[in-house]
Amino acid sequence: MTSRSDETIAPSPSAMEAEIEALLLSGRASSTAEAESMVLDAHLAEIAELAQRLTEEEFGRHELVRLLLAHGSRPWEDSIH
Amino acid sequence: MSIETRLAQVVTALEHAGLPCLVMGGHAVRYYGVGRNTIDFYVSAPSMQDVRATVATLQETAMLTVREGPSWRPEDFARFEIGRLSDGREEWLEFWLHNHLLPGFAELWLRHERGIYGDREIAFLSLSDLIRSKETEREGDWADVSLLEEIQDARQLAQAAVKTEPALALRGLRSRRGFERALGLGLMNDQKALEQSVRQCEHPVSFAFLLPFIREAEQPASLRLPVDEAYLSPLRTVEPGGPKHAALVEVVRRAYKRWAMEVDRRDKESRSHRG
Repeated sequence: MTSRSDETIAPSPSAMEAEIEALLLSGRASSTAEAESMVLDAHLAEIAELAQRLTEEEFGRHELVRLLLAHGSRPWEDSIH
Repeated sequence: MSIETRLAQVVTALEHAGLPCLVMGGHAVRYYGVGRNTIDFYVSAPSMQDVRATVATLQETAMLTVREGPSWRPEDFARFEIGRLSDGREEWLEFWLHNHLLPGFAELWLRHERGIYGDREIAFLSLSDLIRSKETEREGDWADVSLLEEIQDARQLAQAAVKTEPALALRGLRSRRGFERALGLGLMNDQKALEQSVRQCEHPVSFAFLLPFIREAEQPASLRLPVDEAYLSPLRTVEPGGPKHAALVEVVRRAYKRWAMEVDRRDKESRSHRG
C-alpha cells in the first residue's frame, strides 16, 4: 500500500531525466531509447570533460556515463560468442 | 525451400546468365554469423549494362521470372520482383551499382569472400566492406554493424595469432569485446606492434582504443574521420583499459555514428534529386 508520505519522498527527476522526458512529451523522440540517444549525442563533449575532472569513482557513478555505457558497444553478457 | 537455398538458386541463375555478382545485405550478414530474417536479395553488380543483359537472358531462358519495379535512385540500383512467398509477400532482387560507402565493383571483387551458403559456394562482399555498407542513416543497420565488428575482431585476432603479427588485429579493433580479448592476450604490452598499429588506423574507434597506450601518437591521415580535439586530450591522459577509457571510446563511437548517418542522409537526398 502506498501512503501519502511515500509519494512525497519520491525523488525528483534529474536534469538528464527531465531532458529525456521533454523529448518524449514534445514528440521529438518516439521512444525512450531514441530520447536517451539524443541526450547522449548532445552531451558527448561534457562526458569527455567529466573524464578529466572527476575521479574514476565519481565518473563511473555519473548518470550520463552510466547511460553512455548502457547504450554503447554491447556488454559482455550479451556478446555473441 | 529455405531462404539460404533460395538465395543460392537466385545467384546460380544470375551466374548462368553471365553476371558476376557479390551478395550483400541481409544474406551476407547471415553468412558472416548474425541471425537475420530477410526475404529480399541484394547483390553488387558491375554495371547497368550487365544487369540489363542478364535480365534479358533470364527472361529468354525462363531461369528466373523477373519484373522490373520502381527505383527511387536509378543511377544507384535497379529492383526486380522475382516471385511471391506462400503468404503473398513479394520477393525482390536489387542490383547495386553505386553506393557512396563502397568502392566500385572491380575493387570489391578483389577482396570478396567465397563460402558455402544454401549448399553451394557463393561470392559475398568482404566482411569489412559489408560493415562499411551498413553505415547508413538507418538505426537498424548499426545493430548489424556492432555485431559484425565483434566477428571481424575475433577473426583478425585469430589471424594475428596464427601469423604472430599483433598489428593485424590492433589497427582494426572496433568492439569492446575484441579490445578485452586483445588485452587478455597481452597484445597491448607489445609496444612495437602498438606503435605500428596506431599509425595505420582507419577508423576513429580503433585509434581511440590504442591512443591511451601510445599517448604521444598523432592522428594518422588514414583516419576516415579525425577524432575531435575535445576527446583527444582526455584519451591521452586516461588509464589505458580503465573505465574512463571505455567511456571515451563510446563517445568517439557515437560521434562517428552521428557523422556517418548525416553523410548517408545527405547522399540519399542528393542522389534522389538527381534520379
